[in-house]
Amino acid sequence: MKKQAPFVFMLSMLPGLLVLQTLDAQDAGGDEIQSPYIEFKYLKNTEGHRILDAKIFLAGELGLIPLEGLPVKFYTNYEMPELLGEAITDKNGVAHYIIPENVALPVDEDNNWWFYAEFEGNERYEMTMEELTVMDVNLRMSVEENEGGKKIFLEAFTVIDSEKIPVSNQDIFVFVPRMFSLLPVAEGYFIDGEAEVEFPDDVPGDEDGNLTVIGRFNDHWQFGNVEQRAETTWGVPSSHKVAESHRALWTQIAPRWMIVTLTILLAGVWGHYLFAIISMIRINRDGKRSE
Amino acid sequence: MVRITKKNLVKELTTEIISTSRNWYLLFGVFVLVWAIGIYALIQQIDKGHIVTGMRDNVVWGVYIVNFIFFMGLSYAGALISGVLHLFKSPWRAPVIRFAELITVISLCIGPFFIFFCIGRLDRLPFLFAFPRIQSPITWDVIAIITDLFGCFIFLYLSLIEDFAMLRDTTDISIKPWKKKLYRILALGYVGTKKQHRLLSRAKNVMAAMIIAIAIIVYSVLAWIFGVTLQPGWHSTIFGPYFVIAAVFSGTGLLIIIMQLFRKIYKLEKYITRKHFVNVGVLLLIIAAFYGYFTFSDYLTKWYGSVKMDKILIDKLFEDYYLMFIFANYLGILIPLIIVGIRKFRTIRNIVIAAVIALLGLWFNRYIIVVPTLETPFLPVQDYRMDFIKYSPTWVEWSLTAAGVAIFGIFMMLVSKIAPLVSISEMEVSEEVQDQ
Amino acid sequence: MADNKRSENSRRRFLKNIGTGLGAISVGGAAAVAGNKMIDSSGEKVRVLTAEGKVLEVDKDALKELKKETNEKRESAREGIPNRKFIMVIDLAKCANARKCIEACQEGHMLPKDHEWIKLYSIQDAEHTAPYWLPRPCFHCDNPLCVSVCPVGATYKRDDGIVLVDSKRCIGCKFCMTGCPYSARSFHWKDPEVEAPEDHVYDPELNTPPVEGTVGKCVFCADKLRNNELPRCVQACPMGALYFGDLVEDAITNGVETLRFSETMEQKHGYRYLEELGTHPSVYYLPPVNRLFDYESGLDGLSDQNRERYKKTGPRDAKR
Repeated sequence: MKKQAPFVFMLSMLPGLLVLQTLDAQDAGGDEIQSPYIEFKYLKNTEGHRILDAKIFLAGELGLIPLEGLPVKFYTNYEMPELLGEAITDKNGVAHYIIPENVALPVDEDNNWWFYAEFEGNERYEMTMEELTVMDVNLRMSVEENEGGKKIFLEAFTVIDSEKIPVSNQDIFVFVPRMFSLLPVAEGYFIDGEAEVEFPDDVPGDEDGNLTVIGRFNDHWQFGNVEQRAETTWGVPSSHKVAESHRALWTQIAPRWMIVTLTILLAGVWGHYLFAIISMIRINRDGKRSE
Repeated sequence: MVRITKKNLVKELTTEIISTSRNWYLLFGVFVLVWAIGIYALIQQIDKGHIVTGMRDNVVWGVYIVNFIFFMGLSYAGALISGVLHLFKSPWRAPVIRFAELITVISLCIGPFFIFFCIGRLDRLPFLFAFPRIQSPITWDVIAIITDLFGCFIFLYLSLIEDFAMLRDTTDISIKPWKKKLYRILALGYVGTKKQHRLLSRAKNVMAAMIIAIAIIVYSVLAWIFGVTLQPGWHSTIFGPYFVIAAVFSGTGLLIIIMQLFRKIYKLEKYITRKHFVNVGVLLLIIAAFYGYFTFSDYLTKWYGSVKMDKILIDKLFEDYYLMFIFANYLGILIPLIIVGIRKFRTIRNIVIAAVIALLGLWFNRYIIVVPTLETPFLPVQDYRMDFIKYSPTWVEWSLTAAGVAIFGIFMMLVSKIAPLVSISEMEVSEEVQDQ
Repeated sequence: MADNKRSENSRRRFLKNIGTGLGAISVGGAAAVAGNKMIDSSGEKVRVLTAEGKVLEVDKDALKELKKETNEKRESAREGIPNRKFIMVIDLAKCANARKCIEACQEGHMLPKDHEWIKLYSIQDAEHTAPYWLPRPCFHCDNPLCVSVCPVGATYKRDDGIVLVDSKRCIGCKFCMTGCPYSARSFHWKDPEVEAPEDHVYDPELNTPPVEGTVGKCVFCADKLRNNELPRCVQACPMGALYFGDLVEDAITNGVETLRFSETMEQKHGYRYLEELGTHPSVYYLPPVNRLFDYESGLDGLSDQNRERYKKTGPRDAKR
């Protein structure tokens, strides 16, 4: 939402630039160099992989325009930046970098990791970079269904100097994956490293009711994105079938009565035509005979 | 009273087949010129796209569809009138029936072209047969028009067989050899044996009944193209019968006009008399009454209930389309009623005037059914382009309309060179002709 | 000499046509398949120009194969995405007539500037009610009259609720335009003068390039949906007024927030436009309450031309 504020402002300012808006941002200007932005995210997924996502985009008049095929370099260690690796942005403008397990990530005095993503710039786009700090958190999740309902138990702790420190007073959300995004369905609160979330009964799953449940620190100020996934059968079995209607007119096949009526009508009418034509033939034959 | 004899009959009714006057060429030339302008307009439209017409996103159908309804209406009316006259053996039908049949077939050949002009991709017309959807009223219409076309041709042909035979056999007049040859083929070897006569009259009766039924169905189908949509002013249950009546109204009007034209040009005063005009005029009167009743009932219910969209439409009709509405739905109905209704006024000239007003009124009635409705969609038209807000036909549309009228004339005149415009065989059996 | 030139020209035209088909090869490694075919078939070779401008020798039969592929896209577009029923929710409280949805749509679908698949109406329901801005995409009705009346099956409804137009089938009779009570369809009255890229394969889900003499309309960006991406207008709306989602999953999103569809309908009293017509639209509206912008702000920043549109706006039904 924050990023959209400038557009609202710009659009009230720039009615004269309508023409420019029509051009694809990548082609606009030709030799004019443009300044892209980076959106930098950290995700620790169920398998414990740590993934850095850097999305490069232009803030065009038509919203965000992702830039494809740009190399992004990822660094760590604030004191003495060292290169982790490089990735190329995909068609959504996102460069994914999975941090290898064996890489030692130095922490700062607050026990945070520091990451830095940089696009070095080329002849079309200016250099751009973004950084983030994140604290490593371990999230565990178990799901349980009994008479009391469907429950999700979450456990979270950080490790500082080899000491387990439970997470407290933090929100956590439960999501289910949907076609375009994650849908938040429930919310929990950590006390002494534990949170219990009741899962609602009415969330649609697939045809058999299978549903992936995600416990997740979502864009958390301290932990970034950390998630745990579990497969459940907690979904309401849902599917979509177009109800068959014999009277529907928009379907490929016409309603039966219509075909029947039309056939009868046409057969009747053309039958009479045939009669008239046969009469003509008989007239002709009779004429020949009498000649 | 002028005595009509059989010998004169053949001679006088075939003058146009034997010789061609200078006036004929003149009139024909004018028609061809108008038609050529229409062709030029059509080429423009095909070349530059439908942008050259006045039609735009809201009024997607304009004068073309009005002409389509109008010409198809004339055709169905012709079919109905000739069918009814034949079946009921009206004693005065003889000089009239051929005109009605010709109107039927000729307008039926012209009408569909106006729907072609509406179609954006003429090159894809075969798709109508390759991928037909039975549910679409357009498919109904395609089937109906083809069926009707065949039916009307068969009926017209049946009624011409006796005349062709007569022209083949006659020695009273001199006919060019190639035409003789043509008549020999067309007459199907009809020599008037008892069996042939029976076969022919039975086939004619069957086809007369058929084309009445088809005319009603087919024109209703056309009306349903409008009726099945949700558009205000179109979504009406009475559109089927209303259109049928309106069609007969226009067809009767045209019949009167054609009768007068050919009576004057081809000097048929002896055969087409005031009696015929009064008879057809009374038909016009009856139909005008029905047509007025339907019109009134359609608008009354719309106005009285005043559903939001109906109200907007009625307001538009009485504001932007005031003059057209008055002409089409008041004068167009009342004047024929008064002229034919009052015995004193029933002169040939007056009846023809009434017919012209009826015909024009009906055209405008179709116009104010089609256009204002399209100009009042459910969501208001909000556009900066004036032509998207208000429809006004361009020269292209008017030229093609004129070309439609011209081609009607051209066909009529060409047919008059081959077939007698007044049925000789019908005249023979009618009571006025005496043997000599 | 002159002859030579002419044949050269016609060859190029031919190659250009072929180019459309060839584009399909380079996608998805189909080139290998086409290559294999060359060995065991008639062996008749045709020189074709690829999208990159290279001349290739391709077997004639392989080309036929490609031709079929372009039609396959047209066929596959008739199959909806299984187990989906797409819906759009438009929050009228958030619409400020920014017209970004229109621009993104026009750009994505190669539409001329005067052609709007999603339109912005200024609506005032009655004399004493307040005006508001109403974005109107195609409603993708569940009882689509436009589909019912199409004589050639050029427009059709898929199982996932999307109504598409095959502009290679459309004959341009415009019956669908009179059938649609929402004026959602528009006709290409003249040559749109848009050239598709050479490797372009016609797909009704994107429905580009526009074809003269045919009818076009909003396609819910069915091509984007195949990749689990939101429609262009939804992505472009700076106010987040447009939500898109799947009824089966009971979720809608504007790209920023994701909501339960049923809850949203319940809490904000969602409704459908002109419900009484019985067309069962797939587009829902949230009433313009607690607006983020006042109506007048929608007029700011409009070009004179667009301001002209709304000049005469008034409560047209409130008249007398």
